Amino acid sequence: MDLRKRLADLDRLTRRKDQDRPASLTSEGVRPTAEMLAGMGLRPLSSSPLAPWILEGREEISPPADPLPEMDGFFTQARKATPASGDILFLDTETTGLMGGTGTIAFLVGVGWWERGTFQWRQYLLPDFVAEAAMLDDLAGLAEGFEVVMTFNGASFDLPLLRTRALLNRLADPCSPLVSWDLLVPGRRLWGRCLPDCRQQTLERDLLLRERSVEDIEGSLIPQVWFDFLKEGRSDMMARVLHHNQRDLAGMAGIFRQVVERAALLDLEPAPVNWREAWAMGRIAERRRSCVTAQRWMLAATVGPGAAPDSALGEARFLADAVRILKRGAHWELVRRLLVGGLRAGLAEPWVHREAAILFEHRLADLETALEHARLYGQPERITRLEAKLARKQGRI
Amino acid sequence: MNLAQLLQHLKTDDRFTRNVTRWEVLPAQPAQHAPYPAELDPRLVQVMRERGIAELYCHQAEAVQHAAAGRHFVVPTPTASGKTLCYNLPVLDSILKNPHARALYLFPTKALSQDQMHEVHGIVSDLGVDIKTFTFDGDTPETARRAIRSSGHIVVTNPDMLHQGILPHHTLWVKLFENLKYVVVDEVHQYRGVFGSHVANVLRRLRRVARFYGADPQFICCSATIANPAELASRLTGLDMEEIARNGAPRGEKHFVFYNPPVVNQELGIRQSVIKTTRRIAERFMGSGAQMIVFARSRMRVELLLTYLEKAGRRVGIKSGDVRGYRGGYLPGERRAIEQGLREGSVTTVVSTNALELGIDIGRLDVCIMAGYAGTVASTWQQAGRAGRRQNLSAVVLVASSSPGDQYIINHPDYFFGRSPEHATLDPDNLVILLSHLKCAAFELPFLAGEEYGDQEISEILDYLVDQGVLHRSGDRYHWMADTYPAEDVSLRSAAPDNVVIIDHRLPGGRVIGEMDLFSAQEMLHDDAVYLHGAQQYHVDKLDWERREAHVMPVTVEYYTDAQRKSELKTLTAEEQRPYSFGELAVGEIGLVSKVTVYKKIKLGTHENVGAGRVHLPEIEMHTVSFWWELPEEVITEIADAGLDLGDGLKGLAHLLGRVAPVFVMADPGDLHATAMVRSPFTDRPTLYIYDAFPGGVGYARRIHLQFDEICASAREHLGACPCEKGCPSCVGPAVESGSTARQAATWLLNRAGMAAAEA
Repeated sequence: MDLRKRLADLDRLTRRKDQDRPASLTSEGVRPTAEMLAGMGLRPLSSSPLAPWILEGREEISPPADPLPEMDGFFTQARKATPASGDILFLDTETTGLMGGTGTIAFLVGVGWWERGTFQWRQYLLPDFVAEAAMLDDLAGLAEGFEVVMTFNGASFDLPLLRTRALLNRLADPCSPLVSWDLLVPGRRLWGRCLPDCRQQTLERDLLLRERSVEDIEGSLIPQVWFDFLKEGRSDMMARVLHHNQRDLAGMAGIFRQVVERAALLDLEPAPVNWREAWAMGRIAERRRSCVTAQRWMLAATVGPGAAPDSALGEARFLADAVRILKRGAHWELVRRLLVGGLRAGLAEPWVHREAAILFEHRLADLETALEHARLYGQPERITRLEAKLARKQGRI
Repeated sequence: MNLAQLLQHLKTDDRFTRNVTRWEVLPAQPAQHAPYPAELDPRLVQVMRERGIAELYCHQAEAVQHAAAGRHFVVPTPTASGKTLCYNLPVLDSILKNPHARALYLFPTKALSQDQMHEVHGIVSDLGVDIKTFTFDGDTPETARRAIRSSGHIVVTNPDMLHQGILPHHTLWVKLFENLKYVVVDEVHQYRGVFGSHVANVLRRLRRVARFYGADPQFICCSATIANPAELASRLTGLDMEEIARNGAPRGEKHFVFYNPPVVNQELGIRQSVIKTTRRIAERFMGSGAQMIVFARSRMRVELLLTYLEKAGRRVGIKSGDVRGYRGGYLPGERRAIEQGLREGSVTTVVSTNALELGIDIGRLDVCIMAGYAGTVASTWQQAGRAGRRQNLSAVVLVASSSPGDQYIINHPDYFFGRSPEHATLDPDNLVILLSHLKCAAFELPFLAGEEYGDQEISEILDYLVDQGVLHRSGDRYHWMADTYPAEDVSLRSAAPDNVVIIDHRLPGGRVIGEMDLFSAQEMLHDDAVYLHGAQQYHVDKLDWERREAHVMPVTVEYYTDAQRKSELKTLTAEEQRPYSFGELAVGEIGLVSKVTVYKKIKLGTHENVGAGRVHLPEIEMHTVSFWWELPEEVITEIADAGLDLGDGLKGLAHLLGRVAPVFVMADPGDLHATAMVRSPFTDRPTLYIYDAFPGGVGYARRIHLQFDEICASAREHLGACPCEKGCPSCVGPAVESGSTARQAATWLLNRAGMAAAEA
C-alpha cells in the first residue's frame, strides 16, 4: 500500500472524532496579495510576500496629562519606569493559538502610541512565515523609542510569545529593553471585585461604555482566519481580525486613561464613591505602604456616603481588609462595629471571633465579651487566660 | 521461625517441594573493585571516600572512563548494584569542571524521578558546591518552574513531561539545552513496544532541539539484564552505544524457587489457581516476620490477593494497614505513603503490579513472591531484585500460572537461569507514532526540506501533513499551522490517544478514582462490570463511551466479571514473504475490527462461572502489523488422513504460539494476539496469524518472523512436556474451547513442520 494511503488510514483511525477538520481545498492554495486588502479599504504600506505588511492609522483618543501620576501599586513594575504618556508603547498580538509553546506564532502584531495628541497605531501582518524575522526586527527598532510596553495580559502571554519567536529566529527580543506594564493588573486590583470578570472587553463595556460591534470577531476563530489567508488567500475575514486588533489597542488606551484617573485621585481626599472602588483604592495604597491613605479610603468604604451596606460585611475578604487596615489607624470602635456587623451578616468564621476576642480584651477592655468570642472560636489558652483575668477582676471587686 | 529456618523447613516439607521444579541457591558473590579513574575530579573522589566508598565497582569505573572518552554507553545491571553512580559520577564530574554544564535525567515514571533526588543531593551537599538538582514533573509548582529552567544543573524528569512540558516550550529552557552535556536514560528495558517507540521519538526530538542550540549531548543508559541492551539503547537513542558487560557488585545468598501449582484436573490439565497458591505461600512467609513483596500480573489480581492477605495477616497479628496494595490508578499521595511505609518497615507486606518493579526506593525487603511469570526474564530479575537488596539472605518464589508462557518458563528453568535470550524491541518508525511525533517536532521547530529525522526519509510524510493543513510549506521550511498543541493529543503510554475516566458517582459531583485506556476499558468497565479498586468492588452503572466516562458505585458482591473480545481480521499488504520448510512465512499489514461482546460472572474463591451478560459497545478498528504462517494446501488432506481436525489443530496452535512467542520478544501476553483461519481469504490457505495488538505495530511481529524457527521448536518441546491429556490453558487451550483433537492435531502440525525442516 502506498505511504500516502497508509498515512491517511492511520491518521483517520487514531484521530478522535472531535479533532476531525475538513481537509484543505487545495494543497498549493492562492497566495494572499495586498490588492485583496485594498479591496476592503485597507492599504498596507508594503505588500511584499517576504516582508510584513504594515498598516497605519490614528484614533482620536487624547493622552492623559503629563506628568503621569505615581503608578506604584497599580502596576507590578511601576517603580521601574516613570514614562510620559508618549513613552508608552501599547502592544497586542493575534496568534495561531492560545496555548503558547514554540509552535504558536504571532501573525499580527499591533502597536500604538500617543503622538501629537492623538493615538497612532501600526499593525504588522505576516503574509507568510518568512516575514516574521523582518517584523521582529522592525518592531525592535520601533520599540527603542519607548520606555514602557503596555499590554493586556501580555506579561504572561504576548511578551513571552514574542520572546520565543525572536529566539527561534535567533534575534534579540524586541520588547525586553522595555519595562512591561500589564493592564490586567490594575484592572484586577481596581475592578476585580466590582465586575463579573476582568476581561478587556468587560472593562471596556463597563468603564468606557463601549460595546464591540457585531463585526468584531470572536477570539477563538482568529487562528483559522490566518490559516485560510495563508493557504487560500481568503482576506474577507482578515479585515475583521485587523479591526479587532485595532479595537484592542484603542481599548487599552482607554482603560489606561481610566487607571491614570484613579491614580491621580489616590492621594486626594476621597470623594463619595462606590465602596468597592474605595476598598480597591485602599488596598492599592496599602501596597504602596501608604498607611494613612489606605485608612482614608477604607473609612470611605465603610462609613459615610456610598459606604458598604451592612450585608457587605458578610464578605470575608472585604471585612478582613477593612479590619486589618483600620486597626493600624486605631479605629477601634469602627473595627468593633465591622466585626459585629460581619457576625450579624452571617460570617461566623473563627478568625472573626478571634479578631473580636483580641479587640475586646486588649483595646476595649471588655473581658466578658472577649471570653464569649474566645469560647466561640475555641482557643483554650486564651479562654483560660481570660477566665483567670476575669476571676482576678471579680476578686478585686 | 525466621527466614532461614522457614526456608530450611520448606526444603524438608514434601508437600511443598513436590511442586518445586527448581530450587536454585544463588551464592553470595564478592565485589570486584577498581580504583577511581584518574579522570575524576579529586573533590568528587574525596567525597566518595568520605562516604565510605574506598574503591568503585569495576562497572562504575568503566562507566567513568567511557564518559570521559566522550562515548555513549549502556550499563546493563541488576537492582541495587550501584548503578546510579555510573551516571552520577560522570555528570557531577562534568559540572565540577564546567559549572555551566547541564544534565537531563529521564526515568520512566514520575515516582522514580522523585526518588532519584536523594543520592545526588547527598553527594552534592558533601561536595559543598552549588550544583542544583531539581525534579520537574506534573507536580512541580508553577512558582518553582522558572528557577528550575534557568538554574537547574541536573533536571530529573520523565519522558511524558519531556514530551509535553519541556520540548514544546524549549525556548524557556535555553540554559539547559545550550549546555546539555549528558542525557541519562535509566531503565531502558522499560522502553520497548509502544512506549519505547514513542520514547525513541521523544529522544529524536530532544536531540533535534539540542542541535538547534548547538548541543550534542552524550547519552548514558542503564538497563536490566536483557539479551540486547546495546541494540535496544541504540534503537532508542539513534546512537552507537558501548556496552559495559562486566558487573562488579556483590550480592547476598538468594534462594530462587520455581513453584508449579499442582494439577487439579488431569483431564483438562487445570492447575490450582496461581492466586490461591500464591496466597498460601505468602501466608507461610507472613508468619516469619520477613518483609515481603508480592507481585501480581494485573490490577485485578493485586486487589484479589490484597483482600486475601489482609485477612491472613490479621490471623498472625498483622494490622490490615500494614498490608498494602500498590498499582497504577492509586493517587500519588497514597503511593508515596506506601513507599515510605515500606522503607520504614511499617508496611510489612505489599501486593503490587509491576509498578514497583522499577527502582522506586522502598528499601530492603526479604521475600519476593511472584504470582505468575513477570512476562520477561529481565522483569523477573528486576522483581526478584526487590528481595535482598543488601548482602543478606533472601528468598524469591515464582509461582507459575497455567498460561503457556508461565508453564514454559517454570518447566525450563535453564532457559531462565542461563544467559537471557530475550530481545527487547521497539519501532520508532511505526507510522502512527512517527506521524504523531513529527507533528510535535514541527511544532517545536520548523522542519527544513531534506532534514533528517532519525534515519527516516520524511519528506513524503511532511508533504502529506501539508495536504492535511497541519503544516505549511514556506520556502524550504515546513511550519506548524494549527491552533492545537500536538503533544497534548499524544500519550506515550498507549497508541490510542485518550482514556476513560472512572468516576465514583455516589458522591455529589462525582469523584475521579482512576483512568483506563480505551481497549482495557471495554473489557473492564463495560456496563454491569465489577471493577476492583483499592480492594473495593465497584459496579459499573454506566460506561458513557462518547464522553469517555465510567460511572461506578461501590458494592460488595461475591463475583467478578471477565469479558470476551471478538475480532475480525483482513490482510492488507504482504511483505518479506519467504518460503518455510512447511508452507510460507510473511509479515504484513492487517486491518482488525474487534469488539467486546459478552462477559462472564466468576465467583470469588471458587472461580466458578455464575452468570453472563451481553456488552453493547462500538467496534474498535485498528491497522497493525502481523506475522503469518501460510500452510501448504496438502496439509488439509494429510491431516484428515491422520484422522485429525485441521480447525482444532490451528486453534490449538494459535493458543500455544500466542503465548510462547511473547516470551521470546519481551512482549506482555496482551501485546500480541494470535488467531488462525482454516482458509484465509487473503492467502486462500490455512493460515496462522500473530499480530501486534497496537495500531501500526511496534516490531513484535517482525521479530517473530526472524525467530520463528526457535519459537516453533520451543512450542513443540513445551507441548510434548505438558502433563494434560487433550489440551489445557497451558498449552493448546482447554479441549472445550479448542476442540477435542486440538492437542493431537497441533502436535501433528508442529511435527510435520519439524520433519519438513529436517528433510530440508
